[in-house]
Amino acid sequence: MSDADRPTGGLSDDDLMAMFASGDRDAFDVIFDRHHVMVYNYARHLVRRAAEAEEVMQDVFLAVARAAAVYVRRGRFRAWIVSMTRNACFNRLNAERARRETQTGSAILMLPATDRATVPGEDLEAGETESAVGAALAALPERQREVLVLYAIEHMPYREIAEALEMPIGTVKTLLHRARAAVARTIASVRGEEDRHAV
Amino acid sequence: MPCEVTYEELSEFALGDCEPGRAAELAAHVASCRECAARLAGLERADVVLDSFPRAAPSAAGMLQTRRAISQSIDDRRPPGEHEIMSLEEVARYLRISEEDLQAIADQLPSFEIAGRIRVRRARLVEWIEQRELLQMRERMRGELTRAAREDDGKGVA
Repeated sequence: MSDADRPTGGLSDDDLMAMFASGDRDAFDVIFDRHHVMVYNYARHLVRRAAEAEEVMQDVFLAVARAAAVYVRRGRFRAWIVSMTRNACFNRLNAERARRETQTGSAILMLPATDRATVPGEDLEAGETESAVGAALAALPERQREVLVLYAIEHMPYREIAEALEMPIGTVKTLLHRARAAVARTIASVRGEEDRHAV
Repeated sequence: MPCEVTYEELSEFALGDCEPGRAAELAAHVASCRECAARLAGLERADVVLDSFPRAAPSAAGMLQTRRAISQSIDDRRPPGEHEIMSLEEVARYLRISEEDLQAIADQLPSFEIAGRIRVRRARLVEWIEQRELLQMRERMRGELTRAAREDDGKGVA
C-alpha cells in the first residue's frame, strides 16, 4: 500500500469505494475531493484546453461511480484513475487528430504553450524560469510530458506511474530523464547559459 | 576537450537512478567538469520549479457541472422506489399496500399528471405521510380526551 492509499483520515480509497458501493454517497464526495485536482491537472497537460480537461474530469468520475460495484480492492486506486484519465484524454486527442487530418491534410495545430508572465523590472528571474519551464513542459512529446507531470508535479512514485501508464519502470525512467533534460536545457537557454556540450 | 556526458545521464545521477559504479564515475566527473556541474545545478533548479509548479484546477462552473452530473448519475442507478419521482406502483410498494388500496386513496395523494401519467414526488409524499401521522395522532388524542371526559361525567352523575 502506498501512502496515497492510506492517507491521514484512515480511510483508503479502496475503503471509500467499498462504502460507496454499499450505498454511502458521501464516500464518493471524499473520493472526488481527494483526486479531482490530480485528474484535472493531468488531463490539462494532455488535452490542454480547460473546457476539455473539465469534460475529461467529469467522464472519469462518472466512470468511477459506475465501476464501484465491480471495483476490485487491490490498493491501486490512484493508478487506476490515472489510467482512466489517460484513456479519456487519448480518445479525445485521437478523435481530434483524425478530424483534423480529414479536414486539412497534415496541418499541425500549434497550441499556445503557457501565458508568459510579464514581470517588470529586476524580479524577472523567478517568473521567467517558471514560464520557461511551463513552455518546455508544453513542448515535450506526450509520453515524456505525462511522465514528468505525474512524477514531478503529482509526486507519484515510479511503480505507480508504470502501473497507470502500463509500461515497464525502465521506460518510465527513460522518459522521465529525457523530459528533465529537455526542461533543464530550456532553463539554461533562458538564463543565457551557452550549452557547449554534446547533446 | 568535448564532454561526453549527457543531460539525461546527469538527470539519472541526480535522482540516484544510475548503476552504483557509474554514479561514482559521474560524481568524480562533475567535481572536475565545470560545465557538468553547471548543468547539474540547472537540473536542480528545474526540480525546484517543478516541485512548486502550479497545479491547474478546474473552474467553479466545471466543478458544479461535474458534481451535478455525478449526483444525477447516482440517482439514475438507484433501485426502483428510490427515485425522486415515483409512479403509483412505486408509491404502493413504498407504502407497503396493494395498488388497489392505493387507488382508493389516490385522490388524497400529492400527485401531478405528466404525459397522461400520474407521478408523485418522493419529498412531497414524505411530507404527506408526516401530515397524516400528525392528523391521526391528534384524532387519537381527541378520542381519548372525549372518553376521559365521558368517564368523568359518569362519575359525577353517580
